[in-house]
Parts: sequence; structure tokens; C-alpha cells
Amino acid sequence: MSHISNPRRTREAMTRASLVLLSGVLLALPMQAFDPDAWNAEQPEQPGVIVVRGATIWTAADDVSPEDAVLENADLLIRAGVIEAIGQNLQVPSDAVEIDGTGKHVTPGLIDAHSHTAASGGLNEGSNNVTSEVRVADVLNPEDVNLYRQLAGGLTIANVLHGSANAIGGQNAVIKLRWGLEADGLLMQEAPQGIKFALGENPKRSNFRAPEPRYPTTRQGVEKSIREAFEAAIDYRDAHQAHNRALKMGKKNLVPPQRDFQLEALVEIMDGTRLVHAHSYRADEILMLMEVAEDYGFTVATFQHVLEGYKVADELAASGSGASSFSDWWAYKYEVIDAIPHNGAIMWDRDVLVSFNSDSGELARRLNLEAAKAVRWGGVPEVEALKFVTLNPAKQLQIDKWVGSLEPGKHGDFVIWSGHPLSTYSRVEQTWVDGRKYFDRQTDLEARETIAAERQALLQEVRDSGDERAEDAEDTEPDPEDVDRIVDSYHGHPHQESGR
Amino acid sequence: MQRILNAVRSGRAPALVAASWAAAIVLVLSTGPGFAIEGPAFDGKAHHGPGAHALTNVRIVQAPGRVVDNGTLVMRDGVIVAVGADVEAPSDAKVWDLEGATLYPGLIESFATFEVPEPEAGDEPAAGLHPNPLVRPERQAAAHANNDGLAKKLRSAGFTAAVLVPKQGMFRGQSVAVATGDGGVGPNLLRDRVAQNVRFRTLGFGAGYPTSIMGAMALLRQVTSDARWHAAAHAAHEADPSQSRPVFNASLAALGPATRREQRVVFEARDVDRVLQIADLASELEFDALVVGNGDEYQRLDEVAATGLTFLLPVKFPGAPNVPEDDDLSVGLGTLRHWKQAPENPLRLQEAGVSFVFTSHELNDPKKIHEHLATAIERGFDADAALAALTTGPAELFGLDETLGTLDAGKAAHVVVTEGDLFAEKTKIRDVWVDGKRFALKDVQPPSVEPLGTWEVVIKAGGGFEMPATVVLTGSIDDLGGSVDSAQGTLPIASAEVSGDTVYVEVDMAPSGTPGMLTFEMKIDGENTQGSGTSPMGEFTFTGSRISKPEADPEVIQ
Amino acid sequence: MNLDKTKLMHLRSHLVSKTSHRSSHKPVFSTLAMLMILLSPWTLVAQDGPIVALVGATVHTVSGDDIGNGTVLVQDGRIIAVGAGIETPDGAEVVDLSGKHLYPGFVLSASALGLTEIGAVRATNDLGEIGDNNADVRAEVAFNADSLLLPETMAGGVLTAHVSMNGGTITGTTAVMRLHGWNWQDMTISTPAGMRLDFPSVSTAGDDEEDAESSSEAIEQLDELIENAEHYAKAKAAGTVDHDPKMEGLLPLLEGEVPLYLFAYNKAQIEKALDWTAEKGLDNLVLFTGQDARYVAERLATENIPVVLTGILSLPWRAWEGYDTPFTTPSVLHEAGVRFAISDSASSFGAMNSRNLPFHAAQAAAFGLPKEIALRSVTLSPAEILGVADHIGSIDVGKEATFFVSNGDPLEIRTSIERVWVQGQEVDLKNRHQYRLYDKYNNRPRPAATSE
Repeated sequence: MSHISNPRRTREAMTRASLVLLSGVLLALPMQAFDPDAWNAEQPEQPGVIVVRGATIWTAADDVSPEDAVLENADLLIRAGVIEAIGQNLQVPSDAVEIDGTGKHVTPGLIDAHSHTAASGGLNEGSNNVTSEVRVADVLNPEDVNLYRQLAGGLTIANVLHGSANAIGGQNAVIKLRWGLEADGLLMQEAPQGIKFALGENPKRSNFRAPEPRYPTTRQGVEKSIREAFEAAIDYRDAHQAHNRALKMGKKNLVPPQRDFQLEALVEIMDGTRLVHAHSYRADEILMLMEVAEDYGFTVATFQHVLEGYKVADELAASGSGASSFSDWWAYKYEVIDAIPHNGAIMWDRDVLVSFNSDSGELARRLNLEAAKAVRWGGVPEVEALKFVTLNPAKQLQIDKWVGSLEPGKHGDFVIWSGHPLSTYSRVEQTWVDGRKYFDRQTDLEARETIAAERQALLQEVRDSGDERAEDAEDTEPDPEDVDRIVDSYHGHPHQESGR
Repeated sequence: MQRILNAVRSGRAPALVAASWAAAIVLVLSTGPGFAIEGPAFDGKAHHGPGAHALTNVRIVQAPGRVVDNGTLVMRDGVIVAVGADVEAPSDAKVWDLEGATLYPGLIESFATFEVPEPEAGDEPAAGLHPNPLVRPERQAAAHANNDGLAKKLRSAGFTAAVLVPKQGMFRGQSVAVATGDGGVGPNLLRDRVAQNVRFRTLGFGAGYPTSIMGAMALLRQVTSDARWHAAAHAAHEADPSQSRPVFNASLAALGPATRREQRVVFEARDVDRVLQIADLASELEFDALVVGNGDEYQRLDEVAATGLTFLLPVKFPGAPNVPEDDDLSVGLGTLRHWKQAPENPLRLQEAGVSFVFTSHELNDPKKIHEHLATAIERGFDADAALAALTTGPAELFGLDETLGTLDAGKAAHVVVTEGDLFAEKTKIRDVWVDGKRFALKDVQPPSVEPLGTWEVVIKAGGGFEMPATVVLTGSIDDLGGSVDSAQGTLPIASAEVSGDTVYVEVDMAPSGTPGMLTFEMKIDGENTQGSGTSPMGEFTFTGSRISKPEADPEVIQ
Repeated sequence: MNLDKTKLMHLRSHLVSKTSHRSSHKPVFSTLAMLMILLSPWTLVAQDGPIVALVGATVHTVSGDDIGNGTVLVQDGRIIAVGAGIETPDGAEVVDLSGKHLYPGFVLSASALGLTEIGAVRATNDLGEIGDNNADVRAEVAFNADSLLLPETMAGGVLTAHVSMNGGTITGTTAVMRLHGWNWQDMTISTPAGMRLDFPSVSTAGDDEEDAESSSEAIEQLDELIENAEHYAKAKAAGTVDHDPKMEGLLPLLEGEVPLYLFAYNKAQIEKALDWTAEKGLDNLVLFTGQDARYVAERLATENIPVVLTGILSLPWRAWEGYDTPFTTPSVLHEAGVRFAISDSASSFGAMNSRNLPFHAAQAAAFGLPKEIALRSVTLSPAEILGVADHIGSIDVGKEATFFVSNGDPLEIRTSIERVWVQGQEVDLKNRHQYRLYDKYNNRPRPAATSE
């Protein structure tokens, strides 16, 4: 179904308000900027014209002189959700939304090229070594409150990837963080399709124990299984092409070849219509996959993590593959013992298209500070470092035509910062997606008091209710379906660590 | 007693006994319609087979919004023949004066899952079936639905018909619509192959494909595509047999009707986000879909309405969360909001124009549905709409409306007899009639006696007939078992429940070759008992006493 | 001036401090330091090892005001003078730090450094022993002086770590370690720093019965353990019991000689744990915890319980909480008057991330904590809370010369840490695993330009 753009909620909001009044809880429930339940969150309006006045604007655009890369005391003009102009003293209609940007910095919305946010039911189809038929887009979970938290860190786009349990994993989904919309509304329709590959310890199951060993158990086996899959895909393509030729020649009543969604995705890779995002660490496996890709006629769109990318930076640059890396993680498993924080800087210096990603619902809230680490370790210029989390991931996902920098014609995705965007002391003040304000720190601070009050009122109402239906909880059967909807109560671990 | 009944059937009984029983039966049959009013021993205890019955002096809700304040309903051989204020009871009908009671159309359960027998683990899949054990579209609920226990459970909630769905698997198989009378599928089948059923399931880590819900969805997509291919390939081969023969697969063949929209596909959703995902998939795969909801549809009302899907809506409102006086922060706002708003889900869906019927699915005790619906009605949902969503709604949805859904002449005699409103916190259902057979419901009270032990009784029936029997009650008060025993044989107790000072016992007579149930009530007073019962052959009373108690369980002493 | 006392001080610096430390330790050398600055310092100390004079930097003492164009004199591993306009002694090695900034080394107050190398490689982990009561197990004896992680951590300005294990309920004694040295013995600043207790999880309203049961059982077991130890102490005094090392290990804790390092996380668990310690009379304690400390801030202040926050860069635990809940927790504690330090987690994953410690503090500063408090929360405050403020934590006379030099505010990521000293020894920041790889591949010959 198509996503419902949202002039809704007014009636619902009124129902809620009247409900609350009826129950004797005197709570005003105004339009809320923050609500921990996406279904209850208001969709922000899209003003006809927005102008941010007098800000320091980091355009993150390519091919501009250093003095034009960061514009002081400049205006940003958005019309109907699209950037119209950046300059000084821009003229706007009288009903335009004006934002005072004095003392503020403005950057493009940040983009995370490796995310697992907003998915339900498991992101690793770990049963088989090739699962190119599974689709993250089928299971997007719009209720993941981390979407909102990441907006509060300036993130506007995430590449939600399948896990790394298999050599060829599932199909990814590029989403815009339109908090409050249902799943289809999150999808960035313009983004090309992609798929996850994985090399090294994870697909060979080095750090996991399964009842039955699963092929492969070596890096050599990983290569072999990828090649085998592509050979099968070639046969599949040939069979369908032969069938189609026969049909064209007027043959009737032919038994058709079977459609296979797994092989179809691999054919799309070879046709260049599906981008490969390959989880990888070591130099050897990066070179291996570049060879395989060459043999089957495609270029790997991004090597993900690619923590030894610095060892093969020249080869990466020559292949045209992007590198989407952690800034400075290392030593959590053996294959990352040679990871270095200069990875991004060395690759950038050797003309690799570099981005920094999060792979973490938490880290995705401060990708600007990850970019700052490219300045710390290796001295990447600040303007270029900012591109590690804006324009460069946009290019890697092939969505830079629409997003990634502040240039006329691109989407109105931008962030207003309290100070220098690479400073640890700066905070996000506003985050806009498609010319809609999805995060505003000021209204957030106000809303959370309302939220807390609502919770206290409901707690009291439960206490007062003497509700006997409590017993019914035991009457319902446990649901065996494996779905990890957000649990908003805390039950244990102080730190969630990732199994990268 | 069973022995006697057997004896009667087989003709091996002593002549005296047979004669006595024959006399008793004659007595019952010859008493005529007026007799029941006089003799409480015969009122409400007989297991009446089809015949003519007149339910009179009663309020009749013929259909949602169509009420006769005081009227009569006449049924004959399982079919309603007349209903209305001025209807007279025919002279040959047994008349039931139901003053103060209300008749409702029998309720229809739209989605009752039950476990079907699975092949043993490690068994190779049968030749010609899909290799994935979660893909069993060929499974027929009808082949496994001889389930009197399930029928009884549903009946006790007022459901006189139900769509039975295999519980296991992802492609779970095809459902069957049955009446909830006893005797299994044979006498009760209403409609076979009602729908294909899908639920997204995963296998555990290392146990096979899929391990994720997105994998399950990919499997759905592939199997559906394969089923379409299967049909096309075989059609092509039939048209031109001079090609290689495509493989045959019974699972894929069984999905054919669903892929051609000749059979509905019922998807079970675990939350509203899954509902929307299912809507996308059903539309992509061109299924004629129904969705079993989860009760949180109000959260995405507009989007849910836009799907145009019809819902089988569980009526399961969450109980109040456990909230300590000193907030320990563990109760989330989402939990609290759902507690607060869930009872309004039906109302909000109705206002948004979503079509739905109700189901007791996910309530372990289907009787709870009345209490939950009472809450929904209290929160603004229309009582007639609630009744419709359990009667006319499902009847129309499943093509059963010619025979079910309302109390009108020509329809099957499916009637619920209540004291007071059907939807109430403590709904009292007195009787349920299924195809003209009356099932009396007991009002279960907490046990006030300890019934375990061996009881010797003397059974008396009409005509001065007497015979000894032994009733052995074993197990525990919550889980009674045992046997009914006499010199010539022993039958196991099918069910025994204690309510107050009375034990209600059922014995399935089928093993002896006589279809039907032997039921009796033992009222216990210390070590003495008296009671009455019915069998297909007639009614009886008994008195007796306990001759032994079970030895104390050493584990309990410890 | 009492030279013997100075010499004694030097001697002590080479010894491991075996005494227990009150967590509210005041720097003991401050009076002495004042005296030394008033007198001509070089005349005092010339009789000992060579002096290094670090001159020209802005000295951020943390304990007092910043000193512009300051001088720090170092001898025998200790700071012997700090100030502006201090003359450089004859023969001193002069290090010109003009335009730079000098800070005390960051102190990581909860860490697994040295006890783990690669989390996923089981053989490299010495983090958790089997058994509920590991009171007789010492963390530092497996501290790997040559762990690859230590130099990388120092490159981030983090020069001291408080290490602990995590097996069982009583996980063992903890130690404060220098990150530079020859072996675990000479790297130990303080042991036992404390006895770590991972308080059993506490059931909440949202839990099911089974959880609630196992939770209360675990607390009962802990009660029993303490009772047994108390009984052991009496029996030992009466001479009626055989030596039991596990019981023996608990005695210093019961007698208050070794502080209790109490790890408890969510609100219910913290409250239960604090009630429990009060009931047991264990009042010499530090609470190691996370974001829920904000909900018990008042109590922590009233009862004067110091807190180590094990990580600021984390997600809120509950959907309805503000997105910045973990970030603002330090300022909530600060405003309530709670003494606290900021750390990362004492986990294997935390170990590899140790060099990012200052950015935890910076995030707190971005969300309301005064900058100077943020800096203190990763330097002097943890030193005080861990009872080693006489050794480290600020740039003061008498303390170990453990500091770093940067080109700016070290809480800013873009700032570079340029030079590092530990106990007066400069650490070669190029002699480390990651830098060697950087150097090697940064200098890999570039491919010849190909014309296409």
C-alpha cells in the first residue's frame, strides 16, 4: 500500500483530549513534538517557504573553493520541501517561516550508511549462507524510538542493512527518519536497491556456535560460495532469456522456468541495478571480493567497516568502490586487530570515497563527532570530514542527486547546530527532513514534561482503577513469533554491545 | 450402567433389565409436553435429540436490533420453523417456559486454532510435499477436527459454530467451519476449505529456514510464486505433453485456489505494524486476504482503514499493569496507554469504517469475550454491532448466512439462552442449542467438598429399576479423573468438574459402541452422595456413599 | 625544609600504596607543596635525580586556576614545582611547550584494560572467575603490561585505569593502574582499591514471578555470604575455625578497611543495594552505576555516596525518557551535590574504546555540566573517589608526573594529544601498534599515474 501522507491526527488528538478529560485527568495534550510512540506522534507541517537567516552554513558541496565551503552569515531558503537558494538577504514571501540562525551552524542532514535501526523480527536470516531473497523493507518497524533519538542527533537518512551472518545476505532499505509515519512512509523511494554481503569471521561463523556447522568455515569458502551463487544466477538468467526468446518466436504452451527471488537479486547485481554493501575487515578479503566483482561485471558499492581499507586504499580507489567505516573501533574480535583510527584519513588521502557509519542505534546519534575523529586522527580538513557523514554516504548510496549537501534542487534535509558541527560541545537544535521539522530541542524539552505527567497520571489511574482484568494477562497465550518490538522497560544490561 | 446400555443394544442383557429400561423409556416418551413442567427431574437434564421444541415466554433477539420482547421460538429436527410474538407451540413439541431468559442467535467463532498431529521430528517430508515443514498449505483442518473438547469449550461461551484453523506452521493449512455439537466433524461440518491460513513463523537458531520474520516473508513470496508457476507449468504440459514433465508438488497444488483468489487467505498479525506489512504483501501477491488483528489497530487507524482489509478482531484488552506505589520506572508509557485505550479499539475501527468480526482468539477461555465486550460497550461500542460481529457478520463473511446468524424460520436451530444481557461482566448462559440439540451449561462455583475416593451407588430409573455401580474419582480437585464401574465393565471418565458441592461427570459411551454421552451430577454431603443423570437411553437418579478415600500423598505431607 | 621528608616521599612513590584510602581523600602534600614553592625549589631537590622543566604551556592544574605560560618541574617521577615565573634549575632538561596545554592524565575509573585484549577471543580474557564469592581474587595480577590497548589508550591522554573483574557477585579486589611501566607490580598505584560487588538484579513491577523469585534468592544468598563471613570473623577470633581464603578475603570489607565498590544499575536495583549496604553497615562505599543515578541523586547527596558513572554515551533505557537522559545525568548529580566521576564501562568492549573517555565528559558538558566540572570528572574527581588523589588527578607538587600535552581543549575531539608523561617518563606515542601500521601504510608508495 502506498504511504499515507499525514493530514491526519486532528480528530484522534481531539478524541484523546476528550478521553483524558472524561477520565478526570486534567492534562492538556497539545500537538507534541516528541512522543515516545511513533503512532501517537504528530506529523510536522511542511511550510511553503522556510528561510534560515544569518547562519554559518556548511554546504558540504563538492567543487567549491575552501572559502565558499563554509558560508558565514548566510541564508538557506527551502520552498515546498526543496532547497531553492543559499545566499545572503534572500527574498521570501511574507508568510515564510523565518528562523534566526544568528550564532548557529547549519549542515546537511547526516546520513548513516550502516544502520540496523527500525527493523523488527530479526535482521539476520542466518539459516543459509545465501539469503538474497529476504528484504529489510518487509519488516521496517516505525515504532523504533531510536529513529527519534537519531533525529535528535541530526541524522536524517539511514541505510538499514541485513546482518552479517551470511556471505550474501538480504536486501537493504534506505530510509528517511520521518518519525511518526508508518513503515512505507519511511522508505526513501528515490534510493536504488541494494544488498548486504559479508566476509570473514561472521559468515564463517567463527564466534558463533550452531548445532550444525554451516558451510563455509573459511575465507576461502566464503569466496567459493559467492562465486557459486553467481554461477547459479547466470544459469538462471540464461534459462529465462531462452524462454523469453522462445516466446518471442511464437512458441506456445512452453513449461516456463521457475521464478527464484534469490537468484533474481543476484542477476540484478550483475545488471548493475542492485548495489552491494559488503561487510569486510581484512585487506585480503577486500581484494578477493573486488576480484569476484570484476569477474561478474559489477563494482562493489561500499565496503562496510573495511577496517583494513587503509592497507588497500589504492586498490579501493582504482576499483571505484566506496569505503564506509567505523571511525576508531578495533580489537573487539581478531580480524580487527589491525584496525587503526587513521583508516578514514589514509583512504581519503588516496582518493577513496569515505564515509563513517554507526552500525549502532546509539552512535548514530552523534555521527558528527565520528566525523571529527577524521580530523583528530590524520588531519582531514573539517569540511572534508563533515562530508564523511553527509555527501559521501549519499554518493555511496547513489542518492546524492537528492540529498547529502545543501545545494539548490536537493531535499530540504538540514540540521541547525548550537555551534561548530564538529565540536563536542555543540548540540542539535533542529532537524528538518523534506522541509518538515522533525526535531526541535525547545519543543522536545517542553513535551517531555507533558509526557512525564501523562505517565504519572496513568500510573495513578491504574492504582485507582482496581482493574481486575490484570488477571487476564495470564489468560493470553504467549506469542511464539520472534519479534523484537521496542520494549520500553529496562530489564538488565547496562550496556548493549554489538556483535559486529 | 454402561454395561446395561450395552446389554440392551446387544440383546445379551437379562430380560428383566431390558424390560425395565424399556419401561423407563416408554415412560419418558409418553409423558407428553406437559410433563417437564411438573417434574424437575426431567427438566433441563434430558439430552434431547432433534425433535420439536418450543422455547416460549421468552425475550428473543432474532438479530442485531430485531427483538421480540416476549415470544416463542419453535424448532423441529434442528431447524427453526417459527419465531415471533404470536407463535404457538405445536402440540407435539416439548415446551420450555423460559420466563426471564433471552434468546440470541448462536455465536460464530471466526478463528479457533487447534493443534493438528505433526509428523515425528526427523521424519522425511512425505513425497511430493514442500520440503519446509512450515509450509503445509495442503493440511486440512477437517481431517483432524474431531475435537469434542474444543467444541465444548466454544459452546460454553455461546459459540454454536466455529472456523477451526490448524495452529502450527507458517502456511498452516485450510480451515473448516463446523457446528459445535458433539460427534466430531461428520455431523457438524458446515463448510470445508474455508480459507488458507498464514502466520509468520521462524525456526530457532540452527533449526532451519527461516530464522527471521523477513525470511518468513521471503518464504511466503517464493512459495506463492512457486504455486503460480506450478499451475502454469502443469497447464502448459497438459496442453503440450511433448515437453519434460514438470515436478508435481502437493503443497504447491493446494495453494492453487488461494493464488487464484478462489480461496481466502487469513493472515495472523501480531501487531498493527505487522498488519500494514501484511496488507502490502497481500496486495503484492494478489491474495483475497483477511487479517486476524491484535487489538492495537487504533494506533494506526487511518492506515489500517486505507488497507480496505476485513479483520477478525480478537477481543482481548490488556489487564492493568502491576504498578507499585513507588514508581520503579519499569512500567512503560506505551503499556499504560495501551491499557487505557485498547478497550476503545473496536469503537475507533468502526468509526473509521473498518469492517471486522470478533473472535475469542488469544483468550484462553473464550467465555471471557463477553466480559471484554461489555467493557467495549461501556466505552461506547454499540451492543448490536457487537452482536452482529459475532453472528451475522461472520455468517456473511464465511458464506454461512443462509443457515446461521439470526433466529429466523428456515435457519439452523442455533440458539443461546441467557439470563440477562449476553455481554456482561458475569454473563450467565443457561443453555446453548446446536442444531436443535440442547446443551445445558453449568454455573461453576468454587469447590466446597473433597470428592476423591470410591463411591458405591444404587441407580434407580423409572419402573422401579435398580442397579449397583461404582464411581471412582481420582487425581486432584482441579484435575479429576477416574472411572465408572460395575460388575461387567469399566468406562473411563471423560471429564469431571466440581462446582460447589456437586461433581459433574461425563463419560463417553463411544468405546462401548453406543454413541453419545452419559452425564450425571453427584451432590456430595460428607460421605454420602445423591444425584441424577442422563444417558441416550433415558434419565436416572442415584444415592450412595463413599467406601474409601485415596491414601495421603507422601509428597504432599512433606 | 625537611629533606628527609622529601626523600621519604620519593621512596613512597616507588612503593605500592597498601593502605586503604578513604574515598574523600584530601591531597596530603598541599601544605608541603606550598612551602616548596615559597623556597627556592632547585636547592631542595638537586641532590636527587635529574630535573625536567616543562616550560611555556598553559598549565591546567584542575585543582586550581589555569596557569598561563607556566612551568612544571619534574624529578624522580614527581612534580616538584608548578607555577608561573619559576626559574629553571641549572642542569635541568628543558622541554619547550610554548603555545601548548598541559593537563593531568585522564583517569578511567572503571575499566577492563590489561585484563582483556580481544573480547571475542576467549583466551585473551581474564575478566571473570567462576564462583559467587571471589573475594580472594586480585585483578592486577593478570594485568598485561604489554597489552596493545594500553599505548593506544595513552595516546588519548588516558594514563590511569581502575581495573576490576566481573565474575560472580563478589568479583574480587580492584586496583588502580598506571598504563605505562615494566610489569603489573610497578604499574600498580593502589591495591586493593576496593572490593567489587555486582549487586544481584532486583525485580521490578514489570518482571514476571520467576524473575522476582530468582532475584530475591540471589539477595538472600548474598545475605548469607555476609553472615557467614561475620561468623567466620568471630570463630577466627576464638580460634575455632580453619583458614578459609574466600572468607578471609571478605574481612577487610566488613571491617571497612577496603571500600565497597558497589555496581548497581537501574533505580530499583540501586535503591535496594543502598538499603542493603546500610543494613550491613557497609558505609565505606562507591556506587558504580549509570543513568538511573539521576533518580536517586538526592539520596546519594544526603548519604554522601560518591558515584562513578560507567558511560555517558549510551541510549536512554526507556522510550518515554528524554533522548538526552544519559547525557544530562552528570549535571543532575552535580546540581544535587553528588560527588561523581565519569568513566566508560568496565567491559571488554569498553576497553578498546578507553581513549574516548574525555568525550563522555564532553557530552555531559554539551548537555549542561559546567566545562570545568566535566574536566574534573575525568581527572581529579576519580582520583579522589578511588583514593589515589595523593598520586594523580591534578598538577600539584608531590603528585606523580603523569600528564599530557595537547594543542587545545582535550575534551574536543579535533584536539590532538601530542606528548604524554607517566610518572615522569615520557611515553613514545609513535611506538604503538596502530601508529606503526599508520606509518607503514601512509608511506606505501602510491601507484604510478596511469594514462587511460
